[in-house]
Amino acid sequence: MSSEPSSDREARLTALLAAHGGALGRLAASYARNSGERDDLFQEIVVAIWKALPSFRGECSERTFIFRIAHNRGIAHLASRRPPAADEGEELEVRSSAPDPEQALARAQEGRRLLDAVQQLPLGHRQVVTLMLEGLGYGEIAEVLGISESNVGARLTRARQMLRRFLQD
Amino acid sequence: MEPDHELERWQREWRAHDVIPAALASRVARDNRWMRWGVVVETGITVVFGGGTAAWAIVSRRADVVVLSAGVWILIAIAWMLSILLRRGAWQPAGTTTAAFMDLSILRCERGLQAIRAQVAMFVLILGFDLVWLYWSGGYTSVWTFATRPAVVLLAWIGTVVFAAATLWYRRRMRRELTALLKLRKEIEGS
Repeated sequence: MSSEPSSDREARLTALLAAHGGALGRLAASYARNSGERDDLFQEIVVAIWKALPSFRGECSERTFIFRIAHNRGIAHLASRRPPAADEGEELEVRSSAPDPEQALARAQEGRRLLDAVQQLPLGHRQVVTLMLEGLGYGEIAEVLGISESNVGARLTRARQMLRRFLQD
Repeated sequence: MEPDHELERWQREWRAHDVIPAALASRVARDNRWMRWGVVVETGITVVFGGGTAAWAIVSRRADVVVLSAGVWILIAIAWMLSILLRRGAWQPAGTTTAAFMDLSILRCERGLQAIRAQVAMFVLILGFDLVWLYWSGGYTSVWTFATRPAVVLLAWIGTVVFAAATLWYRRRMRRELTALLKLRKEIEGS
């Protein structure tokens, strides 16, 4: 068990969420079928980060560390979730932080379209695409997923082709 | 290097939305403190049962209680041994790469299914030991009188039905999880 005082850990978690909370929320959305699932998964990710913080020794960047945890929770979520019920029609709500309401609506629609397309990708492609969209480079993506950089490149090329096709449909 | 306009547009669209529940960090910290209490309670129960029967045996100096205490400690030792053996190599560090996490999750599920068999064996062993001890220490002469006592009905019959239902539910859940993980690994490897 860790000897780190709880308040220190809470402060670290708060700082991490301030820096990467949005990215973690979007990553959770890429694994979820609706807003409820996304919020539950987001909560699970944050709990997992909280628990893992004392064991973080700086072997990789903090960003790599939390994205690994987030994707691992996402996989666990996919493995443990129930098959969809027939009446489960609620859509994933996408909100924009733009101040102008019209602009916010337009951005939310674009974001919704892109999220739909990302969710249609096979898991291996989806993982590299979500990390690419958050601005991670090939090296960092490879570090998060535990695959080679050339594999990242190959997956991204195929994923982008598929994404273009889905967005045109 | 040429700017990648398509990627930049996607990144802009992607990052335009975000939702972070308010005060989540403090809520997580609070929930985690409760989880720690859960561990303390579990350990406490083990200490109470093991320590309690041992103390009872020392104070009472009765042969049947000494047998009970020895039996409880043997069962605790078997349970711990099984738990350690089944968890070996399946511990999941949260910050591991997703490829390693996938393999460990599959291993954990396989071990979980093995653990169910071990738990069933442990249940039969514990129940058998308890019933034999109760029958022997109670000085019963009729098995029927013993088997229809309310405490025995509750412990043996209702307890077994509840345990069987919980075990079946858990096994189905583990199997479903294992199937899903194997499918996900295939999906990732095929990417």
